[in-house]
Amino acid sequence: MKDFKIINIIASLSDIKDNPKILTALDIFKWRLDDKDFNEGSIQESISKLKKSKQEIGVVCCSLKQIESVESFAKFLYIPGYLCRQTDILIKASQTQLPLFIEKGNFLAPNDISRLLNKVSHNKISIVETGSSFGYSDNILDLRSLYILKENAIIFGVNLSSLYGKKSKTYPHKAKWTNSYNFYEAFILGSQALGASFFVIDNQKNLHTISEDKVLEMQNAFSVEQNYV
Amino acid sequence: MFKNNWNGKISENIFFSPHNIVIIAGPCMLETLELGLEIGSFLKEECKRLGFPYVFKSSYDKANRLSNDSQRGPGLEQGLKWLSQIKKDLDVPILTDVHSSEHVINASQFSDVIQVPAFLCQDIEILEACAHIEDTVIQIKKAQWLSAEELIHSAEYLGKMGQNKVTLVERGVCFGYNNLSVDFRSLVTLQRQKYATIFDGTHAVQLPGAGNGKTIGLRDMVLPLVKAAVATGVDGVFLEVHKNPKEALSDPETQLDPSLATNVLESIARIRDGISKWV
Repeated sequence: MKDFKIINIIASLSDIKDNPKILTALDIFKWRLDDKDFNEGSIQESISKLKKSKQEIGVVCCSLKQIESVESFAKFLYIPGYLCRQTDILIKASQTQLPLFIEKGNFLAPNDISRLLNKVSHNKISIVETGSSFGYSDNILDLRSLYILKENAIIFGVNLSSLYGKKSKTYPHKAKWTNSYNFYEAFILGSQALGASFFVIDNQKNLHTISEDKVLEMQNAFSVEQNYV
Repeated sequence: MFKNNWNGKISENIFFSPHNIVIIAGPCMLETLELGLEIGSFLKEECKRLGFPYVFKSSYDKANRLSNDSQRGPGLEQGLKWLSQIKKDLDVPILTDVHSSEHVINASQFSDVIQVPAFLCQDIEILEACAHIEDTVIQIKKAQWLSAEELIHSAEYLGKMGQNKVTLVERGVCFGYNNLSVDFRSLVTLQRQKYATIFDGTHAVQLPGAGNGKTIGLRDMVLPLVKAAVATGVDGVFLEVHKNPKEALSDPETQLDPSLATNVLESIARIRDGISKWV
C-alpha cells in the first residue's frame, strides 16, 4: 500500500500478550504541511481499496467533507489533536456512530478533556494522549494527564510519535537530545502503569518512524490488562 | 514591499506601510448588527483622529469554544449579511475568521481579510482554499504551540501556490496549562522574513480554560504587551473591543471597553510618533 500513509494503533488485548492487535488508520487526505509524497490522484484509489478491504482500517479525518467521504466504509475515525476543540468536527464524527480515536491537543489542559467529550454524542471513544506543549516542537508526557483520564474511566492511549517530535522542520533551537528512541521504554512503561490501553505510531515516511518490530519487542516485555474500544 | 513583493494593500485606501500601524479591531463575536455598527463607528473615528488605517473585525461563528454550552454567534449566512452591512454603512474594510474550506469561499465575497484561526493555521484544506482566492488578504494566526519558524511554513505553503497577500499574527504561546506568554522574538523572526506582522493584544492575555471551563484573562496586561510589541516592531495591532465587556458572549475578561481601547490606541500613537522621529 505504497500510496497510503499509516498511523498504526497498537491495541493490546488482555489474552494476546505476544501478539498485540494492530489497527491501521490511513492518511488518505493530505493534512501535513511537510508531506512531500502526497499524490492527489491517490485519494480515489485509496478509497476504492478501502471499500474492498476486510481489515479493520480507519481513516484520519480533518474536515466535515473528509468524514462524509469515508464514513460509509471506514471502521473507525482518527481525529488529529489540533482539531480537538472544533465543535462541528467532533459532532459530525460522533454522528457517524463509528468508534473514534480523538487526539487530545497538546495545548489542552487535561481537566478540559471532559468538555471535549461533552461534544461527542456516543461513548465509543478513545482519547489519544499526544503530550503537552513544553516549548516549541516539544511535547512532554504529563503523568497527571494520564491519571485524570484513568480516574474518569476514559479509555486512552498514547501517541509515541508525537512525544518524539518531528525530525524535519522543527524549531531550529530545539535540543537534539530530546529526540531519542531510548525514551520510548519510559513512555510505554509509564503509560501502561497508569492504564493506557494502546499506543499510536505515526509511520509517515518523511517524519520519524520506529519500526513495529521495536515496539512489539518492548510490548512483549510486559502484559496488558485493558480492553480497547 | 512585503514578502513575495506584496504591496501591503488591504483595500483601496488601507495599506500596511513602514511608518504606520494598521489597527484591526472590533467585537470578538458579532453578537448583533447594532453592536458591530456601534463599535465599528467608534473605532473608525478614533483611528481617524490618531492617524491609523483601520480594519473592522468580528467573528460570525466561534466554532472552537471550549464548552459545548457556549454561544457561537449568528452563523455564516446572517453573520456575512451583517458584515456586509457594516462594510457598506461604515465604509471600512472587513476581517473575519473561517473554520472550514467552504467558509473561505463564502466569506471572501464580503471580507477584505480572511483570518485562519490559530488552531487551524496548519490545516491544509483551509490553506489551499485560501491560496485560490483573489483580492483578499489572508491573515494566519500562530497556534499557541508553534514557533514563528513553523508559522512561516504555512505562509510559504501559500506563497508556493501564488498567494502572496499574507499577514501573520502572534497571539501568545502556551506557558504551562491554562496560561499564555508572549515571546517577542516571534515578532522579530516574522518581520525579518518580511511578512506583515500583527500582534494580537487581547488574545495574548487569555488564560485558556482557567475559569472552570471558561477562558478568562488579564485585561490589564493588554496595554503593556501592546506597547512592548509596537516598540519591538509590528505592522499591525489586533484588538477586541466591546461596549460592555462584562456582558460579552465571548472573552468577557479580555475585550476592551471603549475607554481602555482609546487609551491603548493613544499609547500606540505616541510610540509610533516617537519612533518615527528616529527613522
